[in-house]
Amino acid sequence: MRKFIAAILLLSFGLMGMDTNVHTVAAETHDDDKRDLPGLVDKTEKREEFVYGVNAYNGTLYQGVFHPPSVDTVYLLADTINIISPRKTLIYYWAVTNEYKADFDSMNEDLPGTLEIRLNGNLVLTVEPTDYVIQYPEGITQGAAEVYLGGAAQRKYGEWEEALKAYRLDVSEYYEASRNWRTELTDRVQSGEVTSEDDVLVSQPMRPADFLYSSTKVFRGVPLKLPSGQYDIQMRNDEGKIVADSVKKLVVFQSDRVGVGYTVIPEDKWTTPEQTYNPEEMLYVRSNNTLYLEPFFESEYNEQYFTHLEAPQAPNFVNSDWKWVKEENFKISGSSRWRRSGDAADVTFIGERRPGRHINDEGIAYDMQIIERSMIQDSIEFEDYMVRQNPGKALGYEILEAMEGLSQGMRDRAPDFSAFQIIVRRSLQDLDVNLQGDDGVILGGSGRTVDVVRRTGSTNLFLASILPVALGIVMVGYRRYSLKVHREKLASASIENS
Amino acid sequence: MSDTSKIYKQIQTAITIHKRDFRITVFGPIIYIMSTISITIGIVIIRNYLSYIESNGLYPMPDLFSFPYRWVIILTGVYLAFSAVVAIARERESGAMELLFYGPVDNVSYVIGKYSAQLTVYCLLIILYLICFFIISNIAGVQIPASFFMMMLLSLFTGAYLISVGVFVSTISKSVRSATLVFLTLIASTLLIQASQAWLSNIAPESDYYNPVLLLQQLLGWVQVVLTWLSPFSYLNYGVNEMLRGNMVAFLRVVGLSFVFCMTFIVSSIIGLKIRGVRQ
Repeated sequence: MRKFIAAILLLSFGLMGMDTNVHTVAAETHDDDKRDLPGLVDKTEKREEFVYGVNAYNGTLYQGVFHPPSVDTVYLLADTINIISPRKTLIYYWAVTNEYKADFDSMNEDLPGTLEIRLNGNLVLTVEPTDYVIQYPEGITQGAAEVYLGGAAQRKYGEWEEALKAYRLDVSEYYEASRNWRTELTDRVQSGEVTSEDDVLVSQPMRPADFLYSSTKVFRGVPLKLPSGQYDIQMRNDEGKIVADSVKKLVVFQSDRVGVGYTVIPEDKWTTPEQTYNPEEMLYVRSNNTLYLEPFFESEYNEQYFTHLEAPQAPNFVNSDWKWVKEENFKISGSSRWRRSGDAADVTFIGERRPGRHINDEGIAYDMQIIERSMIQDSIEFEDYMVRQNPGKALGYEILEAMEGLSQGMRDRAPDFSAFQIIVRRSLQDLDVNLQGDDGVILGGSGRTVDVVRRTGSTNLFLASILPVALGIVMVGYRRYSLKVHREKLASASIENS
Repeated sequence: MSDTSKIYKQIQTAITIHKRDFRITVFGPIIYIMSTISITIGIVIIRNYLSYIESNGLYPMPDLFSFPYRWVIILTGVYLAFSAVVAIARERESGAMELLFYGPVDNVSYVIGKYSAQLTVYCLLIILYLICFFIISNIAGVQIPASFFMMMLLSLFTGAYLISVGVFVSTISKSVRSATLVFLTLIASTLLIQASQAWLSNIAPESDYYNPVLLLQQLLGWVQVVLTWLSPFSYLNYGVNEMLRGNMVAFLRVVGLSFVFCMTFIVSSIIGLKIRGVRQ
């Protein structure tokens, strides 16, 4: 007992010791000296500090973040261009969001010098800041980001400015034409020349397509494209000295797995879909159900790394897990009979095959392959769907194929979603689904099992718990019976002996 | 006496102890009551999932049986380890152990005999649970994926590790009371820390920027880091999660580590019994 009490005391001392460490961990999320404690300083007090501004690629777009001196590690994705911009700026603590903010409007000085990158203590790379621009020719979140460096940055920014000017001119012309058209239409209506709806539609001016082409200004920064690993970085100024607060760890990481996730839309509640991220995950479904599977591309990252890539001042996790990150949606291919305005005609995919960023680079379209009882069924095509609200006050809607929606007069609308439709009938056995290219190759990480769960009462399920009870009765009963027989034998033997 | 005949005698003795303990367990009612309770808890969890699927229409998850099975097997493992604790400590306290050691029994045969009896019961219970899950699978129309069998394999090793901890605690304890107290404290604290950590990490912060349970999360997180390397429950959870992620290297590592820890605790129990002695 004394030893047990001693063990408890030892554990308590251990926890007290651990508590000291925990305070240190918590302090790291703020800053490391007294003047930075939020309660002790003016909340809007600004001070000049060295920071790293980082344009970090997150698999979909470039995320602009900054790393104040209190953050000791920079996280970046491997094998993609990321920009690190050494800056001198004013930072202040913002209590509302519990983090440091940078006032780049008041001070935003580029620091001349070179960024040194070390791996295991050895200098592996020295890079000087250069001009850069980040552009999204198809629009942010719509297509791939492009980074231009040096002279190309100025040229591309110039092209973007020209395109913007041209767009503004088009818009101006459109408004002018619209005004004229309305005036003319009013005159024609008054004079009785307009006899049908078509007369109005044909002559209506066309609005220019939205200007999706997006660009940053030309900034200066250090472009880095590194393989995954744990590096150290520091900024050396023109005088050959290390800039204060510029020494940080640099963690360059890559996705652990890539795959295809699905947004699963049940027909009876299309506004509350479920997501399935894990490849080879089971989709447990009720029978007599219609599901729409909307694929998207995804990558799995170390949660700690990815969270700090997007939010460098987030608290550290002690136990880091894995995190699936949704990337681009699977878009309908160019060969489809339907194309929405503003959508790029491409289908992006990731998986075991990763030849290019866009599936249309190869011209492959994908259908959903269905396997039931090891038999391949008819493939399902990727279709556009429209949702039509029922007229009247009562709630209700129906999901229609886009072509059907068009035929029913929903001309002025784009489809609400694009997906593969799976009808789960009562008789249906479990299904294996995956995406198959028209070249016959299955898209890696796209497989799921649709498990049709039977409607069953609790009583039936609890039948299984009778098994141990029955076994127990048999075993204990047998033991008692054999003991009884044994005792009887002993008793009869003793009677015979006596 | 030659080494070979000594080992042969030890094996014979261990088999005798194994048979005796095995018979006591399987012909007694407690193991069936416990396994019924365990499987009932598992069924309640499954029923909960099925109700959700029925009302929601769908539920994407890696394996519907994974979580219920883990609960069932953890309860079973804890019970068997606890019964090993009580059996050994009681034999010492009552003087039966001393009596046995006057005969051919020594610390090696005693520990191995006691341990293997519990392990055999554990293996048989895994088979019983497999049959129960097959029945449930047929009733509910839920597929048993291949990962379920891998999880069963892993649970065999983590359960073996847990039982070896129970044997170790009892061999070095003075009385039934102290052995029970130490073992239950160890198990309860491990499970409590693991459950609290999972619960705290799932608490949605009231504010996007301030987390009122950050310190607790980090404290329990550090304890959990230590437990991840020691606790059989953490091994089971980690191994299953990594297996479901397709990381078979991590899965095999967990199997290997469970086996190594199991052997370590059995050897420690043998040494512990020798040092501690058989008298009360």
